[in-house]
Amino acid sequence: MISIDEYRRKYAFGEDYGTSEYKFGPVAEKPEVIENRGFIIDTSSIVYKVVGISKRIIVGPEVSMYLGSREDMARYLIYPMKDGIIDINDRVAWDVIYEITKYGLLKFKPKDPKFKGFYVTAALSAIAPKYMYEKIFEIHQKIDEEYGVVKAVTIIPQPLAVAIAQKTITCIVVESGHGNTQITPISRYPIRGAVVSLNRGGAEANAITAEILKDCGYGDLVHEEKLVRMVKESIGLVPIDLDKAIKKAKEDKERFRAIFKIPNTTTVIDLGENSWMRFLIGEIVFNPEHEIFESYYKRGMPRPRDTRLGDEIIRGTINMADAIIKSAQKTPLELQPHLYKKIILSGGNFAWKVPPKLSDVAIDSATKISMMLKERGIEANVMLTKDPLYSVWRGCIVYSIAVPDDYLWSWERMEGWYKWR
Amino acid sequence: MLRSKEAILTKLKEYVIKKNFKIMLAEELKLPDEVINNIDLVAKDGNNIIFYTVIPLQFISEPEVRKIINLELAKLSRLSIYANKVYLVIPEQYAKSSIVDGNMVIEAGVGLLCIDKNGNFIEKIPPKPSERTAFLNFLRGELEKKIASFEARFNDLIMKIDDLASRYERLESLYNELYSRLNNLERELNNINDKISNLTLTATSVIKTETTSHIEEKVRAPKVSGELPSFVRDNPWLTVLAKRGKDQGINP
Repeated sequence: MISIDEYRRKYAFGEDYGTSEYKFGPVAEKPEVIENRGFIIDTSSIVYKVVGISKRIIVGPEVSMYLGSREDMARYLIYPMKDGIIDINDRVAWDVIYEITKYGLLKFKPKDPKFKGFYVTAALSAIAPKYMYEKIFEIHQKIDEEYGVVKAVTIIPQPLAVAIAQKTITCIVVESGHGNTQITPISRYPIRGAVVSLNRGGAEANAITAEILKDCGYGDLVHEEKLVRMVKESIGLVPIDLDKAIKKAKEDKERFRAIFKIPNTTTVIDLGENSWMRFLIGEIVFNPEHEIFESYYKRGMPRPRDTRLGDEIIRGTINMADAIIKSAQKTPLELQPHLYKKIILSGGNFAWKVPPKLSDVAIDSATKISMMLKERGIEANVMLTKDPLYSVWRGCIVYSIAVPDDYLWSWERMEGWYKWR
Repeated sequence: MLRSKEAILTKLKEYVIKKNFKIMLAEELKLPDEVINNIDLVAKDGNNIIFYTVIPLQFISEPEVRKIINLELAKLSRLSIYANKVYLVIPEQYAKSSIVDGNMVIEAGVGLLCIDKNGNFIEKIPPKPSERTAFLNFLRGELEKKIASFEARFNDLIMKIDDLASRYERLESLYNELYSRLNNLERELNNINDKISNLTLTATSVIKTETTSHIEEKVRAPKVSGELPSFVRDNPWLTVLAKRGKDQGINP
């Protein structure tokens, strides 16, 4: 029986720095969640001087009380991360991260006199550069020096956290968010040299949804990004076979008809004759190099940028199965079959619905990738993360609980506890 | 006196009907446009197709009428491949040797039908029935039979293909469903296997040394003391991470 240190059980702390949300908290079933954003107070404003607001950056639920016009939002509301990355020189963004981190740690600061600070495990994107690690350490050290709430901190890549939360030691984690998709083979450690990062994600599905809306006469609605995302989530389908799905949808238009009513409005979007296009929304996530997308790229839809894996250039439009294979091929030959035994899909870009009446042509993400790999002669067991929203944070908690206190940070290994006291 | 083409055609239709011929539209026979433009009436006598072309009474000199009639005869002589009989219909006044060359009419194989001032028709020269048309009719009959037979066989084949296609689609959909279920089963089986292996390890409470190969190694999910969230309990990573710093050299 493993005995977990009582202090660690109480004061392990997890932090998931997602592009849109920051999830944080000590040991529990679920974390606290706030939006990863901050509202910058204009210190020259009269309100600032008269009301006597003491803070320069507002984070957490309080932000909504400060929101004003759209112009104000664009100017003062800062989302510090773009696809999980913050520019090294973006001082305001780092200030927001400092405030968000401080908010999280202080929210759970106990009154226990025995409390000497949290064991904090923070999760960053697998492609986060080294300076982000340095900045995050710096921020935690500063907060500890001010409030005494951090005993030690470490940083792990988000895919490793997913694997830990899924209780899987050898696997491939495919994390697909809004702007990029990371494929990370893991065998006790993330195999950093085999990480494939594709410059595409939910944004591509949004882009094709916008094109479809334009083609169907709803061009005036595509400027509302949130609306486009809602349409995508409501009508998008992942086809088993795109060509066959289109043929069927054209033959039986009523069964495949895509209608979406914008909540709390009278506007109804009806793709009508073009309802077959709903399959393009799901397909582009898995195979953006299908010839049908060429005409969309030609008319201005952005083509995903190429990416690099070691010395190799990988096409931005490479299909998901080939990208997984490329990543696995960078690992030792004897490890590869074990990696294929568990491929974990994580992130909002894999959450596709399958309406029961269309189950003969549409499938879920796990089955799609499994079929694509099978076509390439690879038998794989693909699964979606359970509770995808919290899995990264949960992995952080397990990491905080388990890693020995004397295992200190090494920039060579990119692991261990970073300490300053 | 019947002068206009329309008046002569009206009488001609009555004459044809009296003879129990069936009046047809030229379009019904799917004739080429140049043929349709050269005939004024089409009738059917049994299986025989008969063309009529009318030259009305005109206020022009006899040589001019003769010229028109000869020109018409030349055109009509070429129509024998489309009809069994071809008639040139003229007013009785034109039926004289100074206008109509009888030999030329016979040679062209065209019949000469004259209409008198009371609207009665007299067949002055009978037409020469076209043998080519009879042969073509025979061929057409044979072809129609063959086409009908092919059509029946083709329809039969289409039905069979449709049937096969729908069976194939049903099979494909069944296959996809089975494949998806199999995937789920595999996942479930893996979960069950994990749970069984955890249970076995808990029961025996034996701590085994991990094998040196980190690939094949099965990491035991440790039993941890006290109440912890579900994602921490039985998590094999607790064992793996607890050894960090003690298994140097494995980190790739």
